[in-house]
Amino acid sequence: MSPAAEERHETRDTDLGGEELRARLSKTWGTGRGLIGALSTVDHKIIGIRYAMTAFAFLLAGGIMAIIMRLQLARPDSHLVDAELYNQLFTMHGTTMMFLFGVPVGEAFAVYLVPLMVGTRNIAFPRLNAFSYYVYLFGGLMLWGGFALSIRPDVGWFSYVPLASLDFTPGKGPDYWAQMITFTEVAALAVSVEIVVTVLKQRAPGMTLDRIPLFVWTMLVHSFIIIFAMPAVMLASSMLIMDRLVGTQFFNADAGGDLLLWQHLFWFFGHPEVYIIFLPGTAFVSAIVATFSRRPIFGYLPMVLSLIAIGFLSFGLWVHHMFVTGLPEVGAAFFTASSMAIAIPNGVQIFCWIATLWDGKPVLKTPLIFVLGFFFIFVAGGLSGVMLASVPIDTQVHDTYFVVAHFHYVLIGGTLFPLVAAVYYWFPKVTGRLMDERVGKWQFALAFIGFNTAFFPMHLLGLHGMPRRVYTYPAEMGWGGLNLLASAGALLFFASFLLMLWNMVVSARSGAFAGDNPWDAETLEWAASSPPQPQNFDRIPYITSRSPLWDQGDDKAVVGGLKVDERELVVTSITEARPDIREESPAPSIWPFLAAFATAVAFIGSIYTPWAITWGSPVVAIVLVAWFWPKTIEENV
Amino acid sequence: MQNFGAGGHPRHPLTLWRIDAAKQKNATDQAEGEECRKVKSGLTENPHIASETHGSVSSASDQPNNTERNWRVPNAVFARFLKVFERGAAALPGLLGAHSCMLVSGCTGTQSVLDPHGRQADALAVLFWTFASVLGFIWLVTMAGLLLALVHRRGSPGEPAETRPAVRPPMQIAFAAMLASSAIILSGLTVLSFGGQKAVFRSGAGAALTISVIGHQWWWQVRYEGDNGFETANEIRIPVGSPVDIKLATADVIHSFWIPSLAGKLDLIPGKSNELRVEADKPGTYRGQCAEFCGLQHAHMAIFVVAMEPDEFERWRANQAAPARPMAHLARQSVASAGPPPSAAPSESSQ
Amino acid sequence: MVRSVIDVSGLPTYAFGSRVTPWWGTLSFCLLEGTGFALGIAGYLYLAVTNTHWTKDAVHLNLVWSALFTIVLVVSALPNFLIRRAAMRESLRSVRVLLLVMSAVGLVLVGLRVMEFSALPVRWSDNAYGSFVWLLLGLHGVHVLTDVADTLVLTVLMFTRHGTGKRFSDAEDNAFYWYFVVLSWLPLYAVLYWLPRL
Ligand code: HEM
Ligand SMILES: [Cu+2]
Ligand SMILES: [Cu+2]
Repeated sequence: MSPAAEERHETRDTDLGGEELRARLSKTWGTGRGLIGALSTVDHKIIGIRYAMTAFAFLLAGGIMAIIMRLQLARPDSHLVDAELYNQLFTMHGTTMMFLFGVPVGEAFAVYLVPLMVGTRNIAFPRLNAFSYYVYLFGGLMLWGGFALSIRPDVGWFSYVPLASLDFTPGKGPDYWAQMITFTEVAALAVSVEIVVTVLKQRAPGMTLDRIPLFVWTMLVHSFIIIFAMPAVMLASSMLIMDRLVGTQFFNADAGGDLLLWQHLFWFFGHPEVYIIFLPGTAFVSAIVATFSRRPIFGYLPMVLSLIAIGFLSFGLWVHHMFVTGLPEVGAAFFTASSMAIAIPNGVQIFCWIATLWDGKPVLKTPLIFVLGFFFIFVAGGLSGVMLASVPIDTQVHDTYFVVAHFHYVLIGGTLFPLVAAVYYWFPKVTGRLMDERVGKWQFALAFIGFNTAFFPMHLLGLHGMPRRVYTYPAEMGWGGLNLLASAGALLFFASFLLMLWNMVVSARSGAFAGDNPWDAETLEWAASSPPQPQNFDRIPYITSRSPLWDQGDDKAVVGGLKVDERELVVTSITEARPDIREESPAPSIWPFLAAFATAVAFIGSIYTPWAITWGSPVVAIVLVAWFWPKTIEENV
Repeated sequence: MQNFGAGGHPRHPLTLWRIDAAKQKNATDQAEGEECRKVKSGLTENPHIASETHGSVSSASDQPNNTERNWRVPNAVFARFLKVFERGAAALPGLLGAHSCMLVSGCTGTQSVLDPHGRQADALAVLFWTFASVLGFIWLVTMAGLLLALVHRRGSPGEPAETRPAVRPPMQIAFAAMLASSAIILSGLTVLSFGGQKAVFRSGAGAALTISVIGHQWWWQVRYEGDNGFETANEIRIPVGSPVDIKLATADVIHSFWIPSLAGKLDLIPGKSNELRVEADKPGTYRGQCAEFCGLQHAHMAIFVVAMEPDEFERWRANQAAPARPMAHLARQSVASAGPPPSAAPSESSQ
Repeated sequence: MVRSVIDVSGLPTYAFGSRVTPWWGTLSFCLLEGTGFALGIAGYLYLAVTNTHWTKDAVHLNLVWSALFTIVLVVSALPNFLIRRAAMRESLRSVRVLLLVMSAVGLVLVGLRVMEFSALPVRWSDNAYGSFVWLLLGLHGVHVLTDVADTLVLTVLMFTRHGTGKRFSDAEDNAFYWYFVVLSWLPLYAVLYWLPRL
């Protein structure tokens, strides 16, 4: 190595300052130009944005499916769509919302925000992060590409056997569905591992366990839930696809298999899934309530403990989806009790948020207004959930529109309203510009009225005996009026999203400049510039408080001594966050993209011949070796 | 690779007629006017059924005779609670304008959780309204708290407030109170739920009658067991006032048997046998519908339960069992929208 | 006012064990794969308990190859332990030798697993029992295969100019994962080969 290079590599951030430091660091951490550069990026912010935009695209697609369904159901005996298409629509809607929107959108925000909030320069395992995004993208494209080619799953988002078995659904639809699950779960698991390691090992020095922002705690618990829940559905969907493709007998009752095994495995994942989708919503709420009340969240410790309690309890509830399968009475009763119990940590959270609002003097900006909508809707959905937890009541409302109403109250109230709030809240960080407040308030009015008009009547419909997943109903049932109302509300609700998209597009180009910290918030992402530099922070902050931006004032204590021309970040100890290692963070690479592509080809091929796995594996292996093969020797200097 | 790129599913030849059957049935439903008249004329032969289906509107609110029912609930608390609750709750469904079915003719039969006509459904409705009131109250309290939190400081100066850490004893007391009260309320609801579960699922004394129901894509085969066994389709007749056990099995995929006005639902699962008890307390026609998605025509998988006075039921049953054609024909006609076409499943097979 | 309170320039660029991020990554993957194994076993037991066919279907599996596999696997924990130690001492020569040993052991194990499969008295398509046997054996086989492949690549790496510094940490990480492969096999072995004989 030449002496010049030697010297260059030894430049530390303590040697430089101001603009020069910023420029040198952003060159080191930057993303290459052109298509190859774009596909090679490992910047968590770029990948986070891609994740979010893809998830929003799927939200839109799933929303359009929902609107078609609502148009069909608006009138009795309607013939807008036939039974076959309707069944495909609700299957695609549910599947898209749960797997291609709900889970990934939470990850998108985690990938973007967690490294910023813990004060590090990139997520742990950034190439795995890039890989996970492409795998998710390919999985979603496969499902929707299949839909365009008329390969359409039509057995619902939980694909109960034996209906989903080859005997009753011979097409390729369920196979595409099952492979899509594998894709998205691989992606979700990878992101969870990254988040766990980022939070545990890459926190800025001084950020002890009790100084971790609640947002980050929530995402940590969220990731652990994914790690323990997703293997169940991957196992189940693999078993299903093997039953369909290579003749295994897992779910064939005639050959010693068991149909309820599918339900157990699916719901062992499926109930935690609800919390996987919901917890990011609570993370947004925690951040937004604190900022707009100008108070740290009341009861940090109870909040963290209830998060952990929710994490554990969410694995003890799955049987409440199976109350009408005729389970032994005592077993069912146990799950009633556990389902009731999880209401307590949820109640604690609600209380702490309201207490925070109470103590402060809330500033009613759009993000907070949407959070208020969240309280209104989510609490109602949570309470109707308490009804479903009761075995006897569930025997009446299970699989009816009451349940459809309930889970939309929880999913939309618990996730979508906080999500819109989060978009308004972090948009200035991501783009440097604020979104329009007036449009935001109109959007809220539309969304709030539209949502309740659409979904409240569904409670009544369910009680009046309308089962879910019916493509039409006879006029004599008298369900027409409420259904018409629901459909009108759905249109309003959908329109509110178009308004948001419009607001985003316009504001991104001509919104007011935001500055680094437009809301005067407490957490570290607001210390970075808007939008953040590739390196996030020119100097790694040193943390002495739970609300660093409020408490540490102008005294910017920082960590010095990282190399400027290499991707170095500080690895700290788990509890005390004492700096321990200067670890090299991987550079951009095209291999994750290629690996995802090879994996996708192998998986999709396997739907048509099992040999695709046999031939695909070596290819994937070769690509992986290329991915991990060290490119330089200097890294060890 | 079957079916690549093709919209339609290749179907079993066997399933084709079922689709036809369902379509036909759909058409039947639509031709309601004519059909209704037929049904009514069929029903008027049985005054009890006729008056009930038309009178179901008011039955919930203006019949104080509920008290004469004998609950025999093991859980004493639950039993007493039911009685107290019953009067108040009985009026509620009517208040909500909830009775969709009654706005129209009795053509379809009653199908509503809020319009119970059987022992099980009664208990479930009471339980439902209890939960709904308690939880609705909690929701109101929470919203009131939220509203107060937003407004109680509006008047004070300083906008926005200075940031400061939040530690205040009164709030901690409120927190403890919230935790305690929610634990108590949830435990109470859990106990009620257990009580209700016992009351509804307790089999108790042997049933007077056992009927097998076998789910098919997309119709219901009903088999009256015994020496003089016979079968019907999409129609079950039961005597009023005595418990009936319904054995649930399926010939293909999972279905779910649900007659909201009589009892909660229970799944029909391949390789598993389930049993549901119902007990109608008034004569009438109660509609139900498959509640587990079971494929293409899941929406059209309806079933009717006709509850009759015991003596009438016995007569009907004897007629069904005997190879007497004319009466059996009449019986079939008296049910709104019979199921599959005659070729599909025998509505009355005497042998 | 920017004020540098800690200087990290003296810190190492790599370390071993739970101090580095890959160790935590590996641990997370062990957790999620372990959950997969646990659920697979739970499914197997669920059928064993609830299904009436099971006693008839659950034929005893051949004990010879599986016993060999188990013995070699358990014994491999010893060189694996030595690798970790040598890696942490950064002794290139011992790491090279031990990696060669582990590669050979790994290949033997793959061969034994193939024999195990060929000796199975039941096919995956015969009944649900057969499906589960193949699934669980296959799932574990995939883990063996990936770690053996990883070991082979690492062995090659260690014989090139890359065999320095952070690579020792990688070798240690690889050895850590092998423990998981060994440990996860033991319950599987008990359930698959011995439980039906009880
Ligand atoms: C524009 C807003 C939305 C409307 C109008 C809407 C409407 C509907 C309708 C009509 C159904 C089918 C009911 C049936 O036939 O059984 C449905 C099912 C469902 N929805 Fe939505 N929905 C919306 C948004 C969402 C969101 C945001 C999520 C999740 C995050 C979601 C998750 C689901 C799920 C999981 C199902 C069940 C699908 C199944 O039965 O397999 N929906 N929705
Ligand atoms: Cu059905
Ligand atoms: Cu059905």
